[in-house]
Amino acid sequence: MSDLLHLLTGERAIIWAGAICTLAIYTFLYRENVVYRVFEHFYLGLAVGYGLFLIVSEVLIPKWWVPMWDQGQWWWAFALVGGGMFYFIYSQKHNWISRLAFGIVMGLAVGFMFQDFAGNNFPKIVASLKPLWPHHSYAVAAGTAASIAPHTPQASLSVSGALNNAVFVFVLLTVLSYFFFSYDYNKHKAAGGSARIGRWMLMFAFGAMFGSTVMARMSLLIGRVWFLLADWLRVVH
Amino acid sequence: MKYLLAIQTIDRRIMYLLLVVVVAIPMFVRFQMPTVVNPEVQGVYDTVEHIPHGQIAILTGDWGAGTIAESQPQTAALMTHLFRRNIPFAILPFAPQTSTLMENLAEKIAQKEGKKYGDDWVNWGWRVVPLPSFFKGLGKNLPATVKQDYKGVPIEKLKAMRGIKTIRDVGFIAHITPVGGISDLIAFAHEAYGVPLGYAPTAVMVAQGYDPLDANQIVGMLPGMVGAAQYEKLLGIPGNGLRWSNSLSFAELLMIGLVVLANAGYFLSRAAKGASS
Repeated sequence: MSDLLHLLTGERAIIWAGAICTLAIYTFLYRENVVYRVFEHFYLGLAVGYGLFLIVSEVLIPKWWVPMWDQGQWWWAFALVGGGMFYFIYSQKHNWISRLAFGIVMGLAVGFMFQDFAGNNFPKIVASLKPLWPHHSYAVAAGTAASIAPHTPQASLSVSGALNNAVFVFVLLTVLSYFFFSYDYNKHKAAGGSARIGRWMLMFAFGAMFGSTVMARMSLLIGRVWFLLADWLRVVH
Repeated sequence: MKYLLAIQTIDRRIMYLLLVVVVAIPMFVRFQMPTVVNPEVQGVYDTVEHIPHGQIAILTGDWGAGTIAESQPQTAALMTHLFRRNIPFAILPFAPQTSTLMENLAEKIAQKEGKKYGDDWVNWGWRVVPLPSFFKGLGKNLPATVKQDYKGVPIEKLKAMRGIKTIRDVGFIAHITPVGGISDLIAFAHEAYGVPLGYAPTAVMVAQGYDPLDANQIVGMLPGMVGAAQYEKLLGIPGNGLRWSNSLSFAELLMIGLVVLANAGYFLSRAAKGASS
């Protein structure tokens, strides 16, 4: 009995299960079929079951039940009240109670979002202001700019660096002009031309992003092929 | 005309089969295609190379079995580098599956490098807390915020964590992820406390990394499997990143070849039609 259990739960059995699942899903590449459908539902069921198990085993029991019941931290009982408030959304008469809970969570999230937005985007705006003229390194003289400490060393900028910066600024301005909708581009030829170039620049960017996406998908395939050849069939090492 | 039409309408199943074959060939034949190290990969390497002793690194991640081909070589390369530099690191998983995968990987590499859990690395375990409040806690009192590792051992008892009081004792954070999420770390770790950040996304999320890279909000990036391969080259340890990147190059060559072939067929058949009419 224990041998059978070991066989069914051992590493080889798990690898066989993984290989069968992988091949079953890849049968879709030939055409839509019942094996694919069965395993698709199998995966969905597995994912939902895994998610539920995690919530109970990794969150509810260790973070809530054990502190409240075993460690005497009775105040965790209020979490049940707070969590339960969300479910009043299903009551027509008392759904205002759920709005209180949602309001608190949204307030917290918005507070964090402000800091997240400022921390992420303001430095990017500053970094968009780039020098365009090549220069040697120098130290800022005292009293030149209030925001820069005196004698702060400024890095040199090579000709190629300046060219890179110029390309960056050109693309930035043309793309920004594409999203400026208050002009009639037929009347303002310069604005129309800039917006058209901006659209081309966006297309280049989307092309590069699509290339990265293809690369990522190929990487997933490589991972699966390696699993089948190395772990399952053991023909490569 | 017939063959010109045929190369424009190759059955997709033949193309899938060809793809699997070209991906598999480099796995059987040992060779290495040339790998050039990009500045963004060099940036991460140089930062890890200069973490002062007495500080720790944090490897955060939310990758799972689905992106193992990209995220695992990235994580392995970073762990190996930290082990070799004797910089202790903490695993901070943002998904339960990541905790197991990163821990297993660390155990495997530690055996090769002669390292020990608790002394050279710790696993803080999956955290069910909002990332901003967790990092604010790390900024005030790191041991009180983390409390214990994934086994339930108080972190003060772990040698790797000795002398680590706040996030200011953290010399580097790397985020290994298939879904992005670097913006939270930029706001709450880099901009708030000045901790150098490295980004190791899957190739599909690479575009998200170039803005913060340009603004010096991250020190560098390991873009997908290629990034891992370049890092392995810098370390001088050919691993799965370098080996699998051969398959990646072959797959891309096949795709380019098929695109060229189909387009050649299209233009040639158009030219032939024009000539006949």
